[in-house]
Amino acid sequence: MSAGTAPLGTQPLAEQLGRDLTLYDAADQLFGTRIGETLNELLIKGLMDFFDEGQSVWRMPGRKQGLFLAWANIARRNRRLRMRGLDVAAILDQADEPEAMIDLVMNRLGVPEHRWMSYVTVELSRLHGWAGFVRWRAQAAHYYWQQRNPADLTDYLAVRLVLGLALLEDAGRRLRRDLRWPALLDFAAAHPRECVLRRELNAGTVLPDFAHRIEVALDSGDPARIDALYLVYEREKTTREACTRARRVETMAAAAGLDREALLGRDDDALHQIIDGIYAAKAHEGMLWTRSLERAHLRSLLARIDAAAGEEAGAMPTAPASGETPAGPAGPVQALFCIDVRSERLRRHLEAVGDYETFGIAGFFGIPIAFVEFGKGHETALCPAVVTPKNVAVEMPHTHAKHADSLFDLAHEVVHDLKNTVLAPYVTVEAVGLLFGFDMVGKTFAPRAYNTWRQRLETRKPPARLLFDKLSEDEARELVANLQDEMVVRAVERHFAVKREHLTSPMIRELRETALEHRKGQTELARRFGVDPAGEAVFIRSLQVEYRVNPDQARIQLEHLAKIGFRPQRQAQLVGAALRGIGLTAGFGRTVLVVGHGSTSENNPYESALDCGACGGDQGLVNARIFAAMANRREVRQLLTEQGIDIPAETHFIPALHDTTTDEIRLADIDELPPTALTRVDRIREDLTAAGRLTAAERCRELGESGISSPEAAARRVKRHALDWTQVRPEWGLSKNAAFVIGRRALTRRLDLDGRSFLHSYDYRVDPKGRLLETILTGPLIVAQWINLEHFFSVVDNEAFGSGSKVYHNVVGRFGVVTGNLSDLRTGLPAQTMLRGHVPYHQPMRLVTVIEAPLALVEALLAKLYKPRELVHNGWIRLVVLDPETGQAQVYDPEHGERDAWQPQPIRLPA
Amino acid sequence: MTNAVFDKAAGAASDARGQADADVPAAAAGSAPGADGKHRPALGKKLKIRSMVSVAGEVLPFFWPMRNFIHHNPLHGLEHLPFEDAVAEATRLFHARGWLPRPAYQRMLADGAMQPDDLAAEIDAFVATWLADQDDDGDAAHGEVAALLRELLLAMMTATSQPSPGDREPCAEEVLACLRRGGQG
Repeated sequence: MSAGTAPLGTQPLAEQLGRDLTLYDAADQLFGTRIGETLNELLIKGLMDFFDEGQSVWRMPGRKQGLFLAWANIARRNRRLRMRGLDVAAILDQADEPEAMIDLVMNRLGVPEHRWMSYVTVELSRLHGWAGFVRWRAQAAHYYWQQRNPADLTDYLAVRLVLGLALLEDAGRRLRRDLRWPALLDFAAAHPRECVLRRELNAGTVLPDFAHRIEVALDSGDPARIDALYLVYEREKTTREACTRARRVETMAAAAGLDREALLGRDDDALHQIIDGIYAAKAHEGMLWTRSLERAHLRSLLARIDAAAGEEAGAMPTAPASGETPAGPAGPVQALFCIDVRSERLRRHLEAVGDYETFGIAGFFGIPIAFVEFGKGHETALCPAVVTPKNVAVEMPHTHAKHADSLFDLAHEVVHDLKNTVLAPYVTVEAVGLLFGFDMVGKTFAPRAYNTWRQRLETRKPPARLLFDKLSEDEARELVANLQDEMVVRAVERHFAVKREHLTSPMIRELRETALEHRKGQTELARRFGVDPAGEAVFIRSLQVEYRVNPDQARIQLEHLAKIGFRPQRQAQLVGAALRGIGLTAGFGRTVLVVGHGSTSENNPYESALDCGACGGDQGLVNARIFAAMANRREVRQLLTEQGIDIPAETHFIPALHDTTTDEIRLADIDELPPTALTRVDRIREDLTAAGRLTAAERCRELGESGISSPEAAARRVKRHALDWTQVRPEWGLSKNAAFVIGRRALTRRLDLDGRSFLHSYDYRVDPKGRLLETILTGPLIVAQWINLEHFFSVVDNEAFGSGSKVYHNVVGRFGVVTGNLSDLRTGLPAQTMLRGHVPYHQPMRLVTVIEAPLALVEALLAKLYKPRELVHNGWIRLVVLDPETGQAQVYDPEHGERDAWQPQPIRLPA
Repeated sequence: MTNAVFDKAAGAASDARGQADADVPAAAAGSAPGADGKHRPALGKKLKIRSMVSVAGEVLPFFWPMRNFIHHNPLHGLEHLPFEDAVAEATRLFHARGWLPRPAYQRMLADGAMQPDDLAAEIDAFVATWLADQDDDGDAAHGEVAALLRELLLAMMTATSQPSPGDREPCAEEVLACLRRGGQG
């Protein structure tokens, strides 16, 4: 395989046009224009205006019509565009739909239709951040801003093409050249050498001592002169390059301990082949390094697992296996943690300071939920991005009804007692109706009104309860009726200045029924207060439209109320599945901690990246609280017993939050505990603090902190990071992640995995059909793979795939960051998370996935599950199966071909 | 060789142009200016354009609003390809680097993230596969070349720095000629 078929330049222009280059790219390369740059600037300005989500004060008008039309309206009148000599208006006048515009521009540019697809791909890849955002938005049906100001890739492309055409034609006029497709191809065909020289010059790769001569020759426009110069230049450049390479081969040989004579003693064929081999390896070099990293990590991990299993077998033959410890007074405490790599450190230290048995489970604890936080005008999906929640949980203030068990009681009180709640002074129709107005996943309702209201809310949130039980239909209807009555009272007060005291319940009910069109005729209110029929009709209409007391709205509210909560059977099903999934079905201790995680930092747009990925980038505490509350319910436990999971009455589940920046763990819902459990809780708190401090000490080492004399000092230092708004690296997050272990804790308990491994508890012995493993492979594994590759590409090229330095970031539109004032929307992770200065901190390697299960089971699942199979066969993760039945570690390597893909080696495993 | 390249380029150009000529009438056929002078392609054409854009965009990774940052694979649209091919395609499309520069890996090697044996094993595997794919010159010559190539590659990766990415790599003949000449121009 001989490298180098074309003399100079990367590839001929004709081949690259439409595949790697747009027309204006070609023009920029040939004639030194800067069309590409200008196009990006103009486009980004328009995009920032259109996509703003309430950050800027001056808002772009007409956005409801969609990106293309809104932009076109402004662009037509944009004086700055006309000053640049661009006749954008003339182009826009010719079509008023984006598809039509695309058709028009592509034809005008002369791009042949069979090349449109690849040409469009190149165009879209230019600002892949913004284009990726448009693409996401186009399919985010419930995203409020997309519903209000719609945009899709066709709009985006149309805008881009219009700008490109205007700029290209303008440049063509100034250069007095035709820059359209057929003309450029003709030029490339007629003057190939000139093309090469021009591209060298404008790309800056020209040999410096030739630059001036080439410029002069090009300006002269004399083809013979240009051709002659080309030949000289080509020979010179190739020779210089070849000599550089030759010297490098000599250097390599010297480094390998071979001297020049020994090397050149070989015949030409052999040397030729060796040079070809070097070129081939260079093309493959990145992969070689990556595989080396993976090989080393895998080797070390397997060796340590083997050694640990050997130690355990030798040392403690009588140690009871996990799950068989009796739940006595000094029995162990179990703790459920998220699979996140940061939990590994804490779990290790906790197990060392006391008798704790830890488990790994996806941080949403198997309960996908759409959560409406008190005081927020939207719902958040607390589950992995690949899952859509079907149930809603609501947070309501404690204020009056500490004894109220159900949403019904509490909501009842809130609605009736509006003037006493914190909502009261600022209540608008929307704000109250919002309680029943949520939709599934991500809808932001009336954000402006709500945000204004919320800003005036007291800064301390009142204590709130999580409500996740289902309402009965009667309860729901009564709730809606109560809400409507409240609306009627307010409406009457606003319209007629008649206070509540002067109204009777039958009057209110009558008004409600009239608005709901259940009755007609004059109302008691009108009779009593002398309102004429016209005035009455206006009032009823207002009730229906402004105050939303109408049949449609009532139906919607009932539908939405039905989405709140889980039935007891479903609660038991979810809790049971989670416990079975991690292999905790017996031997419960008196306390089971359910630990979600989140992070704390100031002034950090990437704060959410440090939170729990399994919770959709949010904190895991809500899910932990719901899981614990469900698992503590007597009714749920009864149902679980029927499933074969017997939780003793003395066992109590306690939710907690692990702050991964400070390694503090805060227990929640302590007031729900019986008094007898409180002494135990104190002891547990002490242990958690100790474990947290030890983890903080490890963390300080990784962060390169100096002057840390003790774990307490470490804890103080990391606490400072959480509160310091100038801190660009509050924690390393998931950087340096390397592996994912799916198996029993016994496999890894004795290992120090250095915070680099995701750990999901799984017991193959209770999963003969592989259903639990299937859930793990299609959910948490995908999340971990996404995390791993996000880090991989953000570190190998932080400018293109990552987001560069945080120091230059500016938040745009409240949804993303750009670098400086105008740039592509930055994707990926920032430099401070991936690098220490200029040196990579994260080691880019694919996720080494270890599954403790029979090989046959895993193969059967891979045959059945499309996505995990694709990831394994195409080498997006590195899979190892530890087969307990054969005592073999089977390493899957796609480079060995399908038949020999599994490479076995013996390994000792825990009993 | 030079002429062949230019002929190829010229051929490609006329090829593309020929197609363009053939296509122009077809493109114009489906769209006539409407009564108001605006360009109005037929519905079928519009749908075709829309779906073309959609398919072309599949290679772009989604961007979620950062309020809830979602870690995702930037090459998600390329997961149907083997890893190395996907990285090559992504680096072409996004003008990006798919691997770290050599000094970064050398540093990791020095820090113990991998051992020289690990690297040697990977190089060995590569050389064996690569030579097997070449026309065979006989086993004896193979063995010698393989051994030498392995040593050189290990030295290249561990002991030399990376050359700056040049545009054109000279072919093996040219490098060989330079070697024989003793490195002088």
